[in-house]
Amino acid sequence: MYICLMYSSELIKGTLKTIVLNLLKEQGKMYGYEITQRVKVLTQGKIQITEGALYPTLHALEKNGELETQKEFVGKRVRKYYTLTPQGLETTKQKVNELSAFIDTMKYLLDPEPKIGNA
Amino acid sequence: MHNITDEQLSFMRADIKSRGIEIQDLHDNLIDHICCIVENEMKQGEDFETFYRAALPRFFREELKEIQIETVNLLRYKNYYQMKKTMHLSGLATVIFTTLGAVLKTMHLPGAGITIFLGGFLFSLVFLPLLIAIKFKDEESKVDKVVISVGLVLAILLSMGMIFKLMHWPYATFLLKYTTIVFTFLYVPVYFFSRVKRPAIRFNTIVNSVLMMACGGIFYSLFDLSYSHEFKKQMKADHIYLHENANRIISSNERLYLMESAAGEGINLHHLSQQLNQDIELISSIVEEKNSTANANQGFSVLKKRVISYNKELQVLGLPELQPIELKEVDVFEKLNTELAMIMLARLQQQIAVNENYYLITLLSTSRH
Repeated sequence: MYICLMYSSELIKGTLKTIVLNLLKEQGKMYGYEITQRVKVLTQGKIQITEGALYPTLHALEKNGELETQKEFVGKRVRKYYTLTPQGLETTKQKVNELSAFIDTMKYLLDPEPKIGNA
Repeated sequence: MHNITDEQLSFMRADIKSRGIEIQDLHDNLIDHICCIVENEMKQGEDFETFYRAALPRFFREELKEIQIETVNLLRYKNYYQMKKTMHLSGLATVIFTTLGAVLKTMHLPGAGITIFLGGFLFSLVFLPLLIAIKFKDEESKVDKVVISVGLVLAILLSMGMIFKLMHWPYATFLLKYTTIVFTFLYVPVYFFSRVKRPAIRFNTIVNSVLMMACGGIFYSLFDLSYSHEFKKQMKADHIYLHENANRIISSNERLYLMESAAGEGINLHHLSQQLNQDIELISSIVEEKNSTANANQGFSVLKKRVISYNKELQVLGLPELQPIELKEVDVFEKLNTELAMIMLARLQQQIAVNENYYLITLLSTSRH
């Protein structure tokens, strides 16, 4: 359920949780719209998270105890801010390490004999 | 930046709700998100409702409710994909184990029992329960959820019955027989009538119902593969004949015991023969009443002990013509069907009576000389 302007959804499927968790680790406290916009800015629009994928993931992470929420009123509407729990912080570290190791493996796999100037 | 009015907020709230978003938290999130889009992305002078309607499809592919369904799925079935993977693997393992087990069994090679058992175990306790959970999630209609789940529970009971049968565990026939009856004559009609009126699944329903009914019917007909009625009648007649003959010899023995010279010396054999006879009569009555040899286990173990003492007594008496009872004959009882077991029991009675008779005649003839 991603909209991605540059990468196929198959390629980045399964990384949404890691993206959201890591973003919350960097930023501390964020709300839904802010997360989508931040990803858009950081990736220069190459990855855009759709709302249809974001909110189910946020709810699941909250239920699993990875995130906690804080509600604030903005005018007459409610805004839900998400922050990492200590368990969420641990999960973020694990997921980021896992993804980094995966990217390294893929680099090695796709370019097993790096040539000079090929970095 | 556009400032959202109370009317616009109320309009969005009502619209989101009417599109099927019932989870309050999700509802709040969506309202805030759409408000952010409106505030940040709507150009000055642009019509709110037109912008709103154009922005909303960013949240879904076909309808807004998808986002709630996906949320519920993630919350309720967080292991859904893992479950599907496990189901596929257990299905593959079931096919491999049962096929391999069948080949081993037909070629009389070792390991057939455990291989088939593993196949059945995986099928009934891993594959089918996972299939129930997945079907329960995937099926749209509540009736279908229930009907398909009940069918799969019956399939679990049926395959458990088959494992029980293969492992010679108790209640195997009960499980197989009654599950087949419920499945074929109760479940299949319910399955058929709950689905046949829907044109989209009408054809599949008819085909599935015919297949299930045919398989169930054939399976049911296999339950009574024992002897024909005439054959059973003949076996019963043989049993009665042997039993009556044994009784005739026993009553003739009783008369011989009345003769003075036989009364003293034959008392030990007489006593043992009487006890054995009583045991056999008791086992016969249990087997006949229950129509199965499975319920007379305790009787068989007592009988075995008595046969051992009886054979010892025959050895003490030292007459080569007295035939001891083979213990292996007692051991096979539990594996026989009712008719054969009854014949064997009557034959034993006859052997005991004949032994006693021969001994008595020998005693009397030697005393006359």
